[in-house]
Amino acid sequence: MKTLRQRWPLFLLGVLALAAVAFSPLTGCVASGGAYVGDGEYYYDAPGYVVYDGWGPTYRVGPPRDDHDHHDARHDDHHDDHHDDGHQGHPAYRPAPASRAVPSIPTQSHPPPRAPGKD
Amino acid sequence: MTTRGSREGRTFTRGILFGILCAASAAAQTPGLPPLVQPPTADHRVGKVIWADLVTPDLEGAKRFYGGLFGWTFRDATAGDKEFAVALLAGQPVAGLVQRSVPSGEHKQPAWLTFIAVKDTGEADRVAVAHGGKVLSPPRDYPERGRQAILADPQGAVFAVLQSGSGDPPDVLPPNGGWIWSSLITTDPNTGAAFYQALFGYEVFALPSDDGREHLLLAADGYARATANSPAVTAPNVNSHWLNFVRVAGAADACKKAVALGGRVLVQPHPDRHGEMVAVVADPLGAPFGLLEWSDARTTEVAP
Repeated sequence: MKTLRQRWPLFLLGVLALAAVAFSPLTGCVASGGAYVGDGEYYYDAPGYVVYDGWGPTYRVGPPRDDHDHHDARHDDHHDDHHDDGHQGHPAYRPAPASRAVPSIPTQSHPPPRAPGKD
Repeated sequence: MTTRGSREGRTFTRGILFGILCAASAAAQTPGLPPLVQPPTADHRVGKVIWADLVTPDLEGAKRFYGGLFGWTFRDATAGDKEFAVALLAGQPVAGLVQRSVPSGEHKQPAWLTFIAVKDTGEADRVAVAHGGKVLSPPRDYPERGRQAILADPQGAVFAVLQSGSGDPPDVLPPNGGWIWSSLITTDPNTGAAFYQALFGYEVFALPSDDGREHLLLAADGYARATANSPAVTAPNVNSHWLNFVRVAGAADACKKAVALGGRVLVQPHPDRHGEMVAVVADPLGAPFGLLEWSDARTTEVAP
């Protein structure tokens, strides 16, 4: 008992040293300040933004299917090599070449092999 | 002296071992975020929506709702006085649910946060700021998950970028109950598309529209990743935001189920451009998300 009383500071030092390392963000454990959910890390949206009035059959936001929803036929009459975004002037973005078919989402159930260097 | 020194050494070693046991126990009770891909790969799909987190003041209520609606199961975790849960679909991580209280007196809207893949979070932050965006939360590292930051685009839509430490998920059609699509509803699709193109290198396609609104498709690696859309109505209180869609077998049935679980239907099921139904619902705390049918065999589409 005497020996234990004399050596408890060393024992405590060992426990504290390990605890400090284990709870460090570098080791993967959660800790205040390095935690996944930190103060200010996540933001609620401002109120009032859930305005979905007007959605209906003519308002479409989903993906096209392959070969079923190509870009606006108006573009086919254009002689340049870019899509027309409907703006009167140049769009702020670089339109995809008109020769490019509008892609769809992945539909395979297994991943296709990727080209080398495609990382 | 030698004997005393060796005793002290043994005592210190026992302390270390005890500390290891304590730390292991604590770590087992507070698991971190799972890696996106197991086993890890070096594949990155910049511009792909790879994760979503729900920020909600009612974690348990959210688990009941989403578990009942999509069959998700949950693995709990804690972080200090805050809590989160990892949602699993058929045992695979599909989303995160984050508990965050709403300060008293404030009216805040729970929402899903969209995570988009990048190769370099720091570079993404720099590009975003250079093109009119804001960094709301600077890059932070999360063991196993990677490095992430939260940004806002020039129109104010909040999203996150994630540099996955285990690679990005493969391009496959998700099962029912998995995220299948994302749409940006923005007050300025033209400028918004330019911003996201600078950030993710998207190809941008103008989509046909007979509603008088602008709809742009954002694509990467040969796949459609999202659309940028004008709001359906012009209203002063429409804030730009991302809306994520879960694949369902039947949007109408899913809407009924959502209502039975305490949610609301914001947009009734209706056909979208791929010929099948979409709907928008809100969970019991008001967080909106979409439902989208996508059958493998169907090839018809809605007439433009």
